[in-house]
Amino acid sequence: MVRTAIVPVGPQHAAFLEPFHLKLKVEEETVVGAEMSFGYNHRGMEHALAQDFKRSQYLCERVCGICSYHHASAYCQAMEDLYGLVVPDRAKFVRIIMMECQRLTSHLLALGHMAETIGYENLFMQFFREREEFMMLVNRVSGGRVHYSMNTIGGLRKDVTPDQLKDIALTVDRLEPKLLDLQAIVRKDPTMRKRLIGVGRLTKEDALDWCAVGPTIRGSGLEDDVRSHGFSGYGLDGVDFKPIVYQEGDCYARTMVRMDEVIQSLDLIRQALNLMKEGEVQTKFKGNPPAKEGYGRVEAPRGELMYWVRGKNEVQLDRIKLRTPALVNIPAVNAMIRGCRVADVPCITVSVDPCICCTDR
Amino acid sequence: MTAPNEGMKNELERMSPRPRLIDVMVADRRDGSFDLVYVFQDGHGIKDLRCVFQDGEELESISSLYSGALYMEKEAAEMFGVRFKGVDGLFLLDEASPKAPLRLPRKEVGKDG
Repeated sequence: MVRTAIVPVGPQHAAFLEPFHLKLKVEEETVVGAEMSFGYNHRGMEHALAQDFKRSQYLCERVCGICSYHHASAYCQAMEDLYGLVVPDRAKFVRIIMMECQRLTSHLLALGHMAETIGYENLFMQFFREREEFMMLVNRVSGGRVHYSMNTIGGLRKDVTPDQLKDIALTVDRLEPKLLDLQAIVRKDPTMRKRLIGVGRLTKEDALDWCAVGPTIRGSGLEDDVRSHGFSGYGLDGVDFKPIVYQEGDCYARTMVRMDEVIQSLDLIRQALNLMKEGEVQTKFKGNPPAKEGYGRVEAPRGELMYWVRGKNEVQLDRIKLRTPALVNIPAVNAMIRGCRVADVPCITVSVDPCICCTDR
Repeated sequence: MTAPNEGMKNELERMSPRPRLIDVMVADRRDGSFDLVYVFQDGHGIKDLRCVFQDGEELESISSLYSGALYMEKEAAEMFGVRFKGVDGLFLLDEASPKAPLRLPRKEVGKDG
């Protein structure tokens, strides 16, 4: 008779960059179920963000260091929806450029993390080398590596200069061949393929059942990407975007979605640079948020990020709610790990790119 | 006794194909009642289903329709001190944390409508 044993993983574990706890139920080497515990990093951000709507455009970037600009963009979009503001096209294009730059830094981190998890140290270092180039680029453009603080309600705090736009274009051109090389490695390398193909499968039905988003759901054959819904500048004339989808639903499919999206982000940055024209970057508004509601959604690197705000004619907000992609993707690991080997659990967990800062808030 | 959101749950059960659930949200109306909002993907936009419920009323859980709703309901339950049938246990808070930290002070009648 096979006995069920409990194997604790985390809250501190070499494969996790942040603290969360998995309690695996195993029968011999096979995982038959799991329980998850969160909250080790809970900071009460929803309460803090509701205290001052102007301060929150900077505070919301502190929810997460990896997708900080996406948080600021989603918050500003929600407030713009609440005020009924129309953001100038130039500001929308700059938001596309900065969101795609941040997607590059996030995806390259996730890909490096995956390489490290499977023991491929050399590939990990190559991903991080190229990532550092983009970290330095966003630092030159915004003045910060992690928190850009470029957004404000109604557009941007200040315009980007022609020199900065040229710097972005040159960096994209310079790094593209290196990233294409890395894409070829991930696509063909036997180590990656053997370690990830067929591992941690998530079916389409399970992806919908667990409300998964981002590369996690697109790796399961569903074309779900907020960018294709035309938010911010993605819906402007001339912007060509099609979600990247893989059908297999395994760790390799999720990894390949991220890898292909790295190349796609370079293309989107080029498109925005070519399409943007001179003009205003901010629509002014007056007064405290009215007693209305607003939604803001962006496609953060890990998937759909949604803010819901409700004003009350005061500096304080009546309610602000964040639905982060990690909040739904991490629980979906439950569906992926049933029947897998214990040794595959770190790969499966890393394949959803878990972010505990976003989950715990 | 009928749960305040039972009609919404029945409506969801009848939907085919079932829309992608984005979030389950609760907001304090500051008069002893709360908003419950389900947000779904609808084409390229979103749609929401909502109802108002009184403090102390027990809500139907939709985690039987969407497994992912469980953690959303757990969060709403511990942040606002509301109850969903069959949903218990802590999610983000621990035993020593303040209870229902996102509840707001009651509205003063005539002050802010």
